[in-house]
Amino acid sequence: MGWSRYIARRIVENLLLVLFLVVAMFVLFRLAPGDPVATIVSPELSPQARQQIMDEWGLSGSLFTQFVRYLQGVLTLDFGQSFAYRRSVWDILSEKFANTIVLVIPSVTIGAACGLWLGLRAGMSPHGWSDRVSLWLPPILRGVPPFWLGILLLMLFSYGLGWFPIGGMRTLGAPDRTFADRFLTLDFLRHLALPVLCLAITSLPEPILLMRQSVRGVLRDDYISYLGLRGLPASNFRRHVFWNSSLPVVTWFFHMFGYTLSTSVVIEIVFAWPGLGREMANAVLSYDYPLAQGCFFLIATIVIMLNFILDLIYPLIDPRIARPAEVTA
Amino acid sequence: MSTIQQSTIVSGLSRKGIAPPSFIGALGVIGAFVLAALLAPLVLGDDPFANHFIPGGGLARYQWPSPAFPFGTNVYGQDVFQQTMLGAQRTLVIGFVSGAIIMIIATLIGVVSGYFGGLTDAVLMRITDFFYAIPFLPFSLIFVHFFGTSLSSVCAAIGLIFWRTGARVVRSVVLSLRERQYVKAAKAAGAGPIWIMRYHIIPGVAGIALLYGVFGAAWAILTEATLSFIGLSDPTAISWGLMLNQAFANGAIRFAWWWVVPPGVSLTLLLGALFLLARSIEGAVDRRLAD
Amino acid sequence: MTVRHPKADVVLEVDGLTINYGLMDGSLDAVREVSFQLGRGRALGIVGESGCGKSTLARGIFGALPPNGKIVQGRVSIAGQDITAPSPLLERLRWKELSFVPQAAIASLDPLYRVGRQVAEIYEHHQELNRRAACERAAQMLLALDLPATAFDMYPHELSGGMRQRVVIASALALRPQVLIADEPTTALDTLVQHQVFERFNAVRREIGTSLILITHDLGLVADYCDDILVMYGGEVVESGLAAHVLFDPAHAYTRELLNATRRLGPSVRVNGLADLLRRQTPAVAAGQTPKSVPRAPSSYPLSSKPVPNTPLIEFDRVVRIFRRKLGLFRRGVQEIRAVDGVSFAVNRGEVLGIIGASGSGKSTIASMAIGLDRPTSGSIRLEGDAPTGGDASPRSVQLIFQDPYQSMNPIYRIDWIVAEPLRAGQMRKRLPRAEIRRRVSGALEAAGLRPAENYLTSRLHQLSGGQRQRVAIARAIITEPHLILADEPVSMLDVSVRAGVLETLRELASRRDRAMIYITHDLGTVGFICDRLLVLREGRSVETGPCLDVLEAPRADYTRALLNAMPGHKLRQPESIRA
Repeated sequence: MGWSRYIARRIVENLLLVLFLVVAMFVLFRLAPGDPVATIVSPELSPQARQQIMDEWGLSGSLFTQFVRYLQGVLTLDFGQSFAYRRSVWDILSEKFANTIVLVIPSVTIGAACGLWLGLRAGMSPHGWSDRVSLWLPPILRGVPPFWLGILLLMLFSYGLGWFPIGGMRTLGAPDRTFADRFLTLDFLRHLALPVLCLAITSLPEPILLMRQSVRGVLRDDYISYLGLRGLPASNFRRHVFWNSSLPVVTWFFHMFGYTLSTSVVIEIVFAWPGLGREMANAVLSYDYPLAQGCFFLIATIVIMLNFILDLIYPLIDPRIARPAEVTA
Repeated sequence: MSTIQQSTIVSGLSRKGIAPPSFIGALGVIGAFVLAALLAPLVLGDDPFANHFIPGGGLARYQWPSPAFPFGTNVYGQDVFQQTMLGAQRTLVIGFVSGAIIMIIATLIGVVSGYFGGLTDAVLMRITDFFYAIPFLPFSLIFVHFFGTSLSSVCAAIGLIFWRTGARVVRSVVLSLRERQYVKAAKAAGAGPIWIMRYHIIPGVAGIALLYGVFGAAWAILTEATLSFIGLSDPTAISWGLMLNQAFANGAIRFAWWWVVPPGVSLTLLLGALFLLARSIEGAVDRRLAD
Repeated sequence: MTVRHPKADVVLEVDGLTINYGLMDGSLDAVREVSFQLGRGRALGIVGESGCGKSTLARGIFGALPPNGKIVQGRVSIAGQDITAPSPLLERLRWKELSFVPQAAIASLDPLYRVGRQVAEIYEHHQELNRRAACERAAQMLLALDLPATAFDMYPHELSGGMRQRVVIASALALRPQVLIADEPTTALDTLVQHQVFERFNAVRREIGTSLILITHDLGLVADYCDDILVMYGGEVVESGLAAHVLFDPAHAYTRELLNATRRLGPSVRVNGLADLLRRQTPAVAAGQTPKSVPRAPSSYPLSSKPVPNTPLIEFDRVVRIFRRKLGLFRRGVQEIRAVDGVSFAVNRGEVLGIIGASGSGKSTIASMAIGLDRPTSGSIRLEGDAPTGGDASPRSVQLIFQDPYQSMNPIYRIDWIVAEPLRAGQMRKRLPRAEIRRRVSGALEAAGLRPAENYLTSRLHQLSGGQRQRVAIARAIITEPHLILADEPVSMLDVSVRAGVLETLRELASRRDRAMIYITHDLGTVGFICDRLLVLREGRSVETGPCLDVLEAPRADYTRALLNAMPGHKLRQPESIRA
């Protein structure tokens, strides 16, 4: 059936993207000025010892052999060892990844939900309070730097009022063996609150604007007034309006996840949150290239995957994409 | 004034944006920052890293706001107000330069891809897809870390990424413009691609291109501030992100609100003004496209 | 003289209705003191040209005015009950007793929902049926309007224009209302489709017993289907009465003008022989006056069937154009569409060839190929006796006038720029001096009927009316002195009274000896006025060809006959067939 053909094509395209990404990363990291070897190898070591260490870390051989080894590694999800931690990069990634996800998903969801609601109200009741708010609030919110917002929240709620802790994912020394211990405690939630609030506020402005504009556009469309003409009740009305307005927002939602993953770098720094982003920033700053590569790769691949899921969902909502109209000469 | 003239002016003004006041307000704020950047060195002195001292010889650390120091001082005894005003320079330069670069690249790629279609379009769009997949902050982090924190390096990092959204949008506008009857009419009259692009396509995308130039400037400023905050900035050039970086690193956020608030508010004001401006342009462009 | 019915038979009554629009700088009475009665089971046609207020009237009656519209005076009542102002009564009656068919069906259907479901919604809500029962009723209604059973599950964009209009009509008739108001229900459709849809529509509505208010600019349509007629101009009723009286004994000058314009451009050539024909072709001459715009060359009249001096200016030889299209996202393979399937014809200097076809017939593709925007897949196109080319017609020799005066020119430029564009953009390397360009622009504008040219040079499109814009398009087409002019539906978007003028101009321009014209249209009504020969197209193939008169009077192909029958306005010429 054509559906599977469509999926197959998208998979191939996305895999190609990932491939390009991998190659580009290799090039980028090799272009880096500075000698990565210097961080792990002391100049006092004998040449043989140096060679041995370089072999261990995969830094020996021609550029080409390095590339091949690199590709092999990526395919098996082996990014080597972190220079700083002396552990497998992949191990570190999988740990930190969960921490970031647990931050990003609630934030974007909450922000999107509130934004959608406000935008829908604003679109459907022009000149009401929601409409007036939606005119000036979004541009200001968009202008607030997320990291500064984080700092303000800390200043106000943590240092000032003492309601929330000042950083980290849980109190030092708290048990973290099991999943429940890690993510289902009140302690964890208290630590989660401020960063999520910060990211949620960041995710707020665009859905407000998008939804409002989309709803306005749909309301102007004739088929909506046609519904009213036919005496159909408000509930039908709302249903039609909602689905027709939702398309741009769905697209935005997936892009926002990717964007927030990017932005999580700086939020995790502000809140000392042990996530993927903070790990990457530290890795870059401390010249820990294998770890930096691994983090970058994971983040980029997730973004690609999100786009892919969007491609799958879109035709389900808008039948015009899936079944194009008949042609007339 | 005749009725016709009056209504043309009104319609001209109302074409300008969601409401003329917000458009003017946005421009005003941006203008104020430009003025500050230009005048500050003259009025306040051009060394933001100058240390100030209290009578008695010690550094004037963490002074509360006072007539002498409207925004107080930081941990090094530096004048926060002066730093804020002078910090506008780097921010504005990065904003305008990056915005211009983004606008130009996006327009070029969007127009060429949309107008010529076929293989050119496919190739260019694949490239755009590729850049879309790259998360902007991790990439800029790495780029600036490798290639230095100079103005040109930062602008390059930003310019390399943010044209992607604009290119896609410009391309879709070009695709619809290309099918307009007046383009077909021009082709039928013998017009070549250059003529059509110059007289029919580019005027049609000018508004959108400008819009994404403004967005690009805003994203550039935000990214640069974020990078500076993380620690990837030119330590010899004062910027708002750098100020926040130092405040955070010194634990000053516990109490020294006068150090934390001004750079953040400046960023918010400038970025908010840019987004408000963008919204006005968007309104005008939508109205044009609806005709 | 207004038609009055016995009280018991009055289904809808409008009394002294005045509707006002609030604008930015003042207000406008779009409808002024309109009164009429609608009898049970009867059809009332409200006719007028753009801007006369007929649509506003329809929306006012239905209670669907835009926010800045208001009924300031008068009364609307249905079966005696007052529904002028929005009220619970109006809501209750809405759609059950009074329904509406809007103008553009595509915009009235929600693109995300299947068509059958949208009709079923009505039954679900108004008759409180469950989903299954409602869908059954809806399916029945769709079948009654000649829609195939598969249409129920389709989305609006998958249906043709005619099918979508049937869906919307089905929606309106679903609850068997007493009154149905139809606002230009078939205007956007091809003649043949329009005829089929309207026939079915009328049949079903008469079966149900619904009274109809038909709003249209097409007097022919009204003549064929309506019992009573109301003529509007400038927001007021200028004439009303029984159809027979209004059509054949009009009291008001405007009505007479409208009738003349319609008859001149109707299939008038079909009736009463040559004498009539002569009279109709030059009405002014018949009246003993010399009109200003008498065509210069008498040989341009489609009177004689003898061939015009033949130097073929353009020749299509077994031209085929195949489009390949991927079958959408989910299906394999490629769809082959033969837009043009072996068409041959030649146009000689000094003659006008009319190409008749519905949408999908390939006429637009032929136009694109003739002008060089497209190439044939096989076959050849020869221009001016040159060696056969792949189809790269020299742009200077062939120019095109488009259908839509609102879209075919770029509104950001001034008129003089627009008209000069072919001169400046064309392939001639040498640059003409400014003064020369200006001279030629003025010349072209005047030849197209815009005199004095100075008044128009610095204007912009939005300041001109539809007819004026189309003349600008004509000026643009003739400025390079082309040998062949292609006119693609040049008047179909204009008001009836304006069409005649524009066609006159086109005929003048076409009548020069060294020039030829191809006139493309789906509307047989206008061809008699301007064409020497006709070519009838159907689905990419030529169905019939010959001298214009012959084809219209004695068509050989069934398709041509069907087209001629489908043209509204028969009853304009057969008074006895109108019901009293």
